[in-house]
Amino acid sequence: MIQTKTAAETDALVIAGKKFNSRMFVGTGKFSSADVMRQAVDACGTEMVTVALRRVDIDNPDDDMLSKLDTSRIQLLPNTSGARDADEAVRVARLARAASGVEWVKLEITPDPYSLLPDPVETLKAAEILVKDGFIVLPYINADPILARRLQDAGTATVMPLGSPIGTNQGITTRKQIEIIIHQATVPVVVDAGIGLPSHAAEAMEMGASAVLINTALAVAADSVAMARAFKKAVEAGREAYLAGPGQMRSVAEASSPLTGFLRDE
Amino acid sequence: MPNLHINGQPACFDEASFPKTVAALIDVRGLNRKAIVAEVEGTIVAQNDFDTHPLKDGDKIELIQFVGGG
Repeated sequence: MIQTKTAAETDALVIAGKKFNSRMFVGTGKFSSADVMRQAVDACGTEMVTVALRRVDIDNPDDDMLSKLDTSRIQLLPNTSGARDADEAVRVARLARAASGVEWVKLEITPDPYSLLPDPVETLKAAEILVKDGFIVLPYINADPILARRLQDAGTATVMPLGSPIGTNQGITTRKQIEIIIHQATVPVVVDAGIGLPSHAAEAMEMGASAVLINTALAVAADSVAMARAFKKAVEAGREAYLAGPGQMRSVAEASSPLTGFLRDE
Repeated sequence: MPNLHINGQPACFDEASFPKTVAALIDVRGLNRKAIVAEVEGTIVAQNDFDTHPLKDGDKIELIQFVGGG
């Protein structure tokens, strides 16, 4: 028997020339332990995980976080979290490259500790510097289509608009803007931040996002590993639905059953 | 008495125990050098250079590592 692969099975994501079989990226913060984090990473099959850089606590050094991750299978994506302007982000990116040998960077500049919304001006400025410096730049941005276009024109490898503010689990409150970003995109669009449930991830993928980045939803779940499995299914389902070509939303009813031939004499 | 500023905190040493290289500092603190990147006076020091990069009295040093983060 000849087995044909579905569109979803032959549909790898390519970023900066590298192929990814999973469209789910995972952040490694806030998990109850490094072991739970690693199990969740394994359960969802992700091939891209974010990590942060921080000062070593000289008196109480943590375990080596990277030793928990199979970096032969997983692309490490250091972030610039904590940076409040372009200079700080560029400094952190260069330190991360020195620490890991990885040129990939999630560019993240959040000057406001209350909203944690990304600074568009500083992000564009830093992206231009880092692209020229040879980095593969994945910028985290508000869902601003004009900024997304400026960044992709500057040579970023993706754009990563937020669904809602970091850590809120509110889902995709920026849908209309993300639709425009996807429509105009020349690089993969990764919906990052605010995705709290598998249904939110499925929604992003049904819209045509190339991938989603999930952290808090897994880390704070009562069972992070089970939630990681649930997200995996949702991301795959959403992508397959997008490729299957969803029907258009209509404003008036349209019968699913035939309107003729009913057992009635008119 | 010679001192260093490590991750924003002052650290004093007597002459005999002053770490002369980044590697010596990491060793004396019992840290895992494979997990660390260093910045000395604003210059990144790669792991390959830990053994040779000299430290001097008053240097500002950042010792940084990867942690979980989104």
